[in-house]
Amino acid sequence: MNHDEFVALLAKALGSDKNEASRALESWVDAVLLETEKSGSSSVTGLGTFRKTEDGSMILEPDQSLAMEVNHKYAGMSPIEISPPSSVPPESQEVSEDKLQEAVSEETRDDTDQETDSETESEKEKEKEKETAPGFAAKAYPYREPFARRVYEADDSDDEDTSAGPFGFSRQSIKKLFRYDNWDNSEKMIWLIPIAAMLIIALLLFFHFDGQRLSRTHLGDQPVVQNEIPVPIPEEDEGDRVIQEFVPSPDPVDEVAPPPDLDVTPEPVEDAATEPADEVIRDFALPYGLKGPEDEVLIGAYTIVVHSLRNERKSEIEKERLENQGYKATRWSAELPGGITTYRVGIGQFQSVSDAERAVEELPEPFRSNNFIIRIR
Amino acid sequence: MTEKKNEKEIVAVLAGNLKKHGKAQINRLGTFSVSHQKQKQHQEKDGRIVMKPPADIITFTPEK
Repeated sequence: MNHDEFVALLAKALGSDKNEASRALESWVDAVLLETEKSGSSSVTGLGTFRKTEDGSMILEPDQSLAMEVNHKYAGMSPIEISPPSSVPPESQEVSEDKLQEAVSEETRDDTDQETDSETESEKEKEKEKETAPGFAAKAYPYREPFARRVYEADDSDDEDTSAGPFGFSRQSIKKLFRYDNWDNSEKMIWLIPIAAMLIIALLLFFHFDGQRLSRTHLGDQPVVQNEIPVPIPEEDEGDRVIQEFVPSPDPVDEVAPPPDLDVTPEPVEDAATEPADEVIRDFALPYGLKGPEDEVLIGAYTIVVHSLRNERKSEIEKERLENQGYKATRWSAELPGGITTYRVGIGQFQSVSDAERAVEELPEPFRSNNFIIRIR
Repeated sequence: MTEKKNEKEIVAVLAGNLKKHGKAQINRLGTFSVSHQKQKQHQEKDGRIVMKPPADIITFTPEK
């Protein structure tokens, strides 16, 4: 509203005419400007504090209660953490940009030297050790290229040690492999981890196939002819049949087939399996997404808030309206400072903020441009 | 007394308008309005990335 409209509204509030209201407004503005000019600030109850800045302009620090009333839709919300603190050690963060550049250039220069001048490599490495602060480069840039360090010329001092090591390799050749002096223990461990992983995988594969062989042998010993028993296949749809594959049998003893000479009536195994099958369905079909019935509210999931209302009945109506449109709608109340209760209506449930942000793009207006993402607590 | 009453009414009219997210211009003083801040990602000093909630804030632009 412009000045005249404001005066008209003020006149109505004061119960007077526009001229009187205009004079009252003028005198109030004069008082505010004068006090701000004199003392640097002027406090107006219910509105805030006008302050004079260094450049001569005036700013308003709004009254807290008024600011909260204006921001009632989002009041009480706290930031959502998307990613945890970085694990960079503090000493690395304190390294200045110049030093980092030096470290990078040192690494680059060292790589180039090794490619072009292999004869003076050992001397350069010794010089590099003297120039570089102890542990500095390794802390700032722990990502060396270990593959560039594999081939080294034999040192004279190592020629004497030619005794055989494990797997027939000489001690000298093993030393050559780990020759690079700047390698610390963690870098050596890089080579041990894949070897250990391969060993574990080999062991697991061995026991897996060995176990299969043992189980086949065990079954072969039993006098059970499973294939000859006419086990009736229940007439079910594809989904139920697949689900039963996940369901463990309630009692393994029941799985042992009776002898073939008995007249076997099929056990209603599917009845026993039906109840746990439902649980399996629930596990695999978590209620994430924008649309569909909201059977379960997932604590910790994200939702898109599209309504924040003071009126509880109105919030219920809005929730029902969204549900009728096929959205997963959730309604909850939020207690704001000052004892104010607001009722928020959110749609959809998402695993991450980025999922929710993508879903916002699918929303119709006005929800697409007027919403906020919140975590369900 | 009258001045106090007038100030109270002026503030009431102004605040009522701001609560409706309206804009009010007063000559020789400036313009009061409400601006919307969208939610945005922000990186804290410790490296955490947080999504800051949206907010409706009161804005005052002084008259030059």
